Amino acid sequence: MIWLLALLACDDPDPVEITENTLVSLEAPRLARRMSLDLRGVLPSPEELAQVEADPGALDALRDEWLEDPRLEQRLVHALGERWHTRVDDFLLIYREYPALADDPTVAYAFKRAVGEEPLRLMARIAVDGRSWDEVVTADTTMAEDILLSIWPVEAIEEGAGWREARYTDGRPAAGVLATNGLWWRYESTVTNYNRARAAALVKLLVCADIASRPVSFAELPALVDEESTRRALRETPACVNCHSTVDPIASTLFGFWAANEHNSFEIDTYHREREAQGMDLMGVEAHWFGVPVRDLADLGQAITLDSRFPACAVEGFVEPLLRRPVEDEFAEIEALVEVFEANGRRVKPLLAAITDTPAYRAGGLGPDADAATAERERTRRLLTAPLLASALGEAAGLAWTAEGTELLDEDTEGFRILAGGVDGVYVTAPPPEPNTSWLLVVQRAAQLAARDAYSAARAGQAPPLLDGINFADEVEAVSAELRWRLTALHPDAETLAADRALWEQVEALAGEDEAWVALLWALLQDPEFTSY
Amino acid sequence: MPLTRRQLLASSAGLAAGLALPGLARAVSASDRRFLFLYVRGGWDPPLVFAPGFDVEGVYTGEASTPATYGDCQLVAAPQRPAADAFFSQHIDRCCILNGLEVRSVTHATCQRISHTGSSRAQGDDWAAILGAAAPHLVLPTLVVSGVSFTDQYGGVVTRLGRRGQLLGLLDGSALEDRAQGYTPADPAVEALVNQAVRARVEAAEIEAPDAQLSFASAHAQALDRRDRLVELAADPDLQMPDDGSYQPASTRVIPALRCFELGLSRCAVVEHGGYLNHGWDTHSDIEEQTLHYEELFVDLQLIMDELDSRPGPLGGSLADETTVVVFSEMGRAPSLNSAFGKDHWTYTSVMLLGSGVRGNQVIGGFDSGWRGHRVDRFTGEADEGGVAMTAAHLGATLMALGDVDPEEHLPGIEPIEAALD
Repeated sequence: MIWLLALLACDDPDPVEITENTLVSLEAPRLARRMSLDLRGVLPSPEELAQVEADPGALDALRDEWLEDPRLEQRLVHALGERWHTRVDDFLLIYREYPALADDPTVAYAFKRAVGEEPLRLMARIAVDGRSWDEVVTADTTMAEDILLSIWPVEAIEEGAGWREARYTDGRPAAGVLATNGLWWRYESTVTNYNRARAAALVKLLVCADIASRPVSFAELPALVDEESTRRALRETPACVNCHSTVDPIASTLFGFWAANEHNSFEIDTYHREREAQGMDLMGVEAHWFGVPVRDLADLGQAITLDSRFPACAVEGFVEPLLRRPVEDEFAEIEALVEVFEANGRRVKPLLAAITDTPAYRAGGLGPDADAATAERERTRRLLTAPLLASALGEAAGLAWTAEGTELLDEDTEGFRILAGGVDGVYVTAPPPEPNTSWLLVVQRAAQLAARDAYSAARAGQAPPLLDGINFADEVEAVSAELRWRLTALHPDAETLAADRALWEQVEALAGEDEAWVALLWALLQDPEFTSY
Repeated sequence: MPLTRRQLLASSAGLAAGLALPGLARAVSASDRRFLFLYVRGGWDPPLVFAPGFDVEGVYTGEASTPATYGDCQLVAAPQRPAADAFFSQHIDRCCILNGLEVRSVTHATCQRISHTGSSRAQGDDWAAILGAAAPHLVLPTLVVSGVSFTDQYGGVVTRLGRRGQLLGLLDGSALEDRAQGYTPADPAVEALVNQAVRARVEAAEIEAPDAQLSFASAHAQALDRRDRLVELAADPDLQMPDDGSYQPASTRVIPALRCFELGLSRCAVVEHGGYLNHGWDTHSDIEEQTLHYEELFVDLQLIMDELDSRPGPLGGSLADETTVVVFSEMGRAPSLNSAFGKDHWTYTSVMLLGSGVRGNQVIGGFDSGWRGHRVDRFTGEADEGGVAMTAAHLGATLMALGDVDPEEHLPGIEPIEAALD
């Protein structure tokens, strides 16, 4: 893979040759930890760590197993959420609009997550089922859980509880996420905007073309002091036509979602087939996707799949959360991954495997040949932010931190999501690359809770995975060494273990043995090697 | 052995003294100046208050609006906006209004980024982060009470308070009390030992960090230092945010920020103003809602200025002596009404600066017959066809000049609007 990338890189005018001397890979156990967190949201088990420590070559097979782990779906929901920005805390409607939900304030969090996750769940399910990514814009199904099934015109077609495959019953076309309420609740449109903002959003999300960031200057325009002159400018003035010639024909296909009143539940819950044709009439355009004529929303989805930017944008959408940085001018690297993506029928799992094979993903440090640009760009150490913090502590230590039905590490009105480095999609659109004060405070308190929860459970005979098999009658150094290994995939030195013992003894003298173990755990869960990966 | 972040901070404590010792009255230098950003979310409509458009065909200036003169400034008043009238009557000598700033987009997200950073690029630090980064020795260089925050290389200096002040609850552990799964408070002595142990590990990591990871490790150590200094102040009643879930106006939400200024903890604070009952200023329908929003804004501004005037600043005078207030919105609104009796987005907007370092009692710039911004002479503020077409970047350069930060470092080729500076 490195050879391939180096070869491709040579075609660039200013190639940055990626070799073993540019980026140094993490050691196998630490790399396994990174992969397990990224793909499953949890730490590797002691057995898995032992396996890769003994045989680094076993990591790829483990990685392939993890790609089949059911927890991958949840991880993808969060990873996609950091890009699609639909897991917001505020929508135009709240749960109280719905009689079925109105009397239960504890449903507020579940409601907004259900709405915002609908498109993400569909994309994640397409990915884990091994279906072509094209279905993101062509599928005739969606995903729903009990709340959405109770309030929207959608019925489950898959049995079971929780999120399951569903289908809308209001005659909306087969267009994947483009036909979901969740996407258009997030990307609203006022009556007079005619879905233009939505069109710009889907162009950015699906083909990575950020029309909205193009400069707009009214300085050279004729007077726009009335609606008629504005309408004329959109059709005739080059500065306006620049964007509107792209946006308006796309927006005209979205009129089934055009609400007469965006604060009315019927208006925004239901697809309005009778309004589909109004777009072209009102906007005075023929529907097309970048010059490709389309008849309707279903056609739009098909046209998107044929756009050469669609697979590249999809690839970028998975590279960024895995590398924890924006994709810059890495055309060769992205092109190589697109080749893998296309060769595998645009299925996501082979793409994820290929990304985790790249030097940039595996980097744990810079080599002697690394230039300044590489040093500035690559994130060789990544911060454990919400939601990874929540899932890692939740699984390892059994941490649950809720209040009135709200997961506090996953929400911002009452909770600590963005304080813990999470993305809310409105005020914070990317996770922080480095620790900051608020993140540190959340980690401190989450670790405090997790330490006590885990120890109490272990003492009650229900040890969470982190403490499974740990014998608290053993020497402190031995216990600490094992815990550090499980938490960080690193073997601590004698000095570190001596410090752990000193902490344990100090607390034991103050408050007893149980508190000493809790305190040690509390410190370990704040260790820089645990809180980064 | 390389110095740890903590050792570096200790050695710069003397530099911080000027920002921390009360009773030491001296003139405010640009490097000591603080900044309160009041971000008006959604797009305000300048012709209702800041920019008379009575003589421009097609401009809707609001119901019962009339030209009004405050000091040397021609603004707009209406009987329904008594708070704006009262504010300008009292404070016009402190106010510098910049009319006709261009923000080259019509979408909220892009305009927010441009108005806060000067650019639509996906990466970049906003004005509050850049100015806060010039005072890294402070405990909370930039405090975001509410609103957007764009950070790139200066993320470590920005701290969010949380919608309901959650940060404070984390400081003293009270945030854990409502946990459904129960909570056992930590023994303070045990917590101190744990903190000590964690600090030792973080400092060791900083010393051992390879160059590529030194910034990461140092940020961790610095966050620890700031946390420890903050913990001591968590009990301060003025730092507590009301958390009963009810609506709180900006003039209440800003109090923790002003307290942080007073205590010498912060250089910059960001507070969002969502308008009347936090409805947001994005009035695509019913433009008269802007009057309600403006009333709320100027009531809040009056209260904020009262607080700034009455609170002692760390440098010996009042907080008002050393604080520049920046009131801005990400966009303006179209000059004419749409079919819903509202106004759509417009790429020209207004900004109001007031307070320390600002030459008040003036309006710089204006709007032409197409409701586009005038070019201005950046030294005199007069209209000048050969002058500068003001943009959000010029706002940033002006703020940096006020804050003793070289604009050329962050906005190459963009110069401050000198006419706004005292």
